[in-house]
Amino acid sequence: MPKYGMTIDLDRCTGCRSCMVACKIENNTTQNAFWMYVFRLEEGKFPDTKISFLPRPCQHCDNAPCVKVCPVGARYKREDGIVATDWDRCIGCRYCEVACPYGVNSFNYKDPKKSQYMDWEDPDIQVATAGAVPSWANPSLNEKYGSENRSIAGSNHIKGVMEKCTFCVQRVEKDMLPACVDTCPTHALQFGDLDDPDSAPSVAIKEKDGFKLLEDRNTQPRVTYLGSPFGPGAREIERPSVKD
Amino acid sequence: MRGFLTILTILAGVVLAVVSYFFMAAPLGQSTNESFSNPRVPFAATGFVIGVALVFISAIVYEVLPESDSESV
Amino acid sequence: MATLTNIPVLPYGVGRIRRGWIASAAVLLIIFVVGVFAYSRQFIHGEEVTGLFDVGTRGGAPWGLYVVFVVYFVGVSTGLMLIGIVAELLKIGHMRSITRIAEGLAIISLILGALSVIVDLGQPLRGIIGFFQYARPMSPFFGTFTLVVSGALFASVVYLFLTVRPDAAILAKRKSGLATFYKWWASGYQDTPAERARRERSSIWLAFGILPLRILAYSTLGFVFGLQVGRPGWQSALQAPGFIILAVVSGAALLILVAAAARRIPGARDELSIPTFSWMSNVMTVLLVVYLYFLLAELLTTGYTSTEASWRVTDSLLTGQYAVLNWVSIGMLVLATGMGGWQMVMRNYSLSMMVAAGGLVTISAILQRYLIIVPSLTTGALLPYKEGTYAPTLIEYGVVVGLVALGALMFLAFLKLVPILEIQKEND
Ligand code: SF4
Ligand code: SF4
Repeated sequence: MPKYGMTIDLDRCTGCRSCMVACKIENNTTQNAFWMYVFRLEEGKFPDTKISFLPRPCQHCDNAPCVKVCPVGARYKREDGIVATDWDRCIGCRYCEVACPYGVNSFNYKDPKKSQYMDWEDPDIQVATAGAVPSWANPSLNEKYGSENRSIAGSNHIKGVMEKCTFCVQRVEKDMLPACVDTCPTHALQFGDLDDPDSAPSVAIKEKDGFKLLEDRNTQPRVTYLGSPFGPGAREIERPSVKD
Repeated sequence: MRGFLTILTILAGVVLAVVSYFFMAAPLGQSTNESFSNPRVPFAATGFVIGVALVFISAIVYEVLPESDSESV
Repeated sequence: MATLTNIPVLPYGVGRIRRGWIASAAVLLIIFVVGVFAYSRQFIHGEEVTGLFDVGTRGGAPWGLYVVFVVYFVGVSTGLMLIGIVAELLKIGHMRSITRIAEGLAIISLILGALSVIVDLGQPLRGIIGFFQYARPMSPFFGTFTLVVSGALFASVVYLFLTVRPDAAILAKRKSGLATFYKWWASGYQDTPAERARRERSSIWLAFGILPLRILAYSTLGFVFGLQVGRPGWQSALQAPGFIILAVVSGAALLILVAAAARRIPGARDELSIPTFSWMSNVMTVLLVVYLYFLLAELLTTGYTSTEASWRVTDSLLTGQYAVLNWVSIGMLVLATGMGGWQMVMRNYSLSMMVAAGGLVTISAILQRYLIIVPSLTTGALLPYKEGTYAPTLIEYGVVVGLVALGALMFLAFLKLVPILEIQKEND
């Protein structure tokens, strides 16, 4: 059984947000959901300012508060370390979202098909598309994964359930890299088996000092950041406009 | 008889609650694999609820059971 | 019993439907239907019709009014049950007359609490089965679900069933449309010395069973918040005890309001006398002082020892977006404490003043829950997300008001089935 983990080299990240886009395309996430989010941060006072970037996927914590609190075991830890959400079992209590210190969860407040960038079921739009399948609809998200065959991949399923980054379980189980890792133009993101000393993240960890995000919360993340953390008083420069 | 049945109900309730909490529901402790997300016996939580309920039903058993002739207070 | 012809067959308006009752029930029913309509919108369209949003990039609160009322309803229920049982256990003379109101209300508000949970879920139908099928002891919700909703509800119903049983036996002997119902309820109770002795003994045992269960159950609800590493402002050892104190305070406040209204029930006025109310008012006042002390202690500890994030939460309460709500709420609590304290010192109790204090505390207790739950979600982010906001929508208000109306309807029905005061006494 592999022990999946990710490294994020902050010195390499240019804040281009390609990973955010790749994630959206792979997982068909809705307009308001950013399973991968890149903070663009600023510290200090003009002219003594410092810019930094912080990609933030789900940390797939080993001691995950979200897993602990899920009342029905819909949010669970797989043996390979992926923290998954079973949208067939989730009752939509949003406790996991409240418990997560990193704010990575997104809830389907409405039918996700209606909060895509375009509602393909809208009759007006169907005039143009002639009822075609949305070009982006990723069929592998509807398959079941893992030893227990559970519905855990991707977004865009039903309303009233929780969703979040899955480490692209539908790709990882087919020996591909998560979409964000595959896309990053500067190779800031690395993904692989942490038990294998030659895997990309293991090598990266050996070469550079790292830290875990909010280490003091004892969540034991599977994501390791390389380089130095943002300083106190860091603030977001801008954020994508969020609308329904 | 009355006392015996009452205590029996309480005991049955406590045992059912304890057993379903510790041995039938999903295991306690830090989750390391899929098994922590599933109850070991389905509907174990219902067992716990019934157990707690039984403890209180004992009061009904104690009070409502019809008097027998041989009985003193 | 000499003037049997003058008194109705069943006491305290039980079984008799009057015009006023029908009018109130009709109004409540309409409000309830409006609530059902509001909920139907949410059921069909999802929770986008509420003011709830994700934390993080969206800057919202995933828990809002519904969770506030889960905590409020279950709290009131806990408080009422504690008051009722302690009064019965200690045989506090003046309090005997309100124990039954307290027990009835406790059951009703527990049902409302359970419904508020369901209303909050994104997948309500799944939730009802899912809890029974999958509930995991690791989740603090397990305790809330099993102990509060099932255990406590069940225990309270058993308790009410047994305490009313002697009364039901008396009423079953009178000729009325409800005689069969009471006969079933009395289930063979004959008021023999042996049965009385058993009643006495089992009420004590039940009390000793229910008290810890209730305290434990409500503490688990406190843990739902108190054990969270990810939410500054919630993680506090005072969370659980503070929850219990506020529960009893809000229970006493609601009891004062309902008991004052119940004085209009024929024959109840003499029993629900000023000493009864003053006793409740004193309980409320003393515990209010304790609660205010808790608030202060909490504030000082976060003020001196806190991290940046939890200070941000506190600051939003003191000077930020929740400051107005917070200070109004605290002002109301202080005012109510003052009113109660004044009456206690002067030994001169006025019903209208106690009712006013009860009203203030009830509103403020709801606000307090809001101020515990929401600010930590919107302003307690640990990563540099922007500050969020939450404003409940009309749908949410509609659903909550509908739930309250449903509770009032249930209480009206309760009044017509169960004598609101013990009748055993009059036969003694
Ligand atoms: S980052 Fe949040 S959602 Fe992801 S595993 Fe940790 S607690 Fe759970
Ligand atoms: S929202 Fe779903 S996954 Fe999250 S805690 Fe509730 S049931 Fe579990």
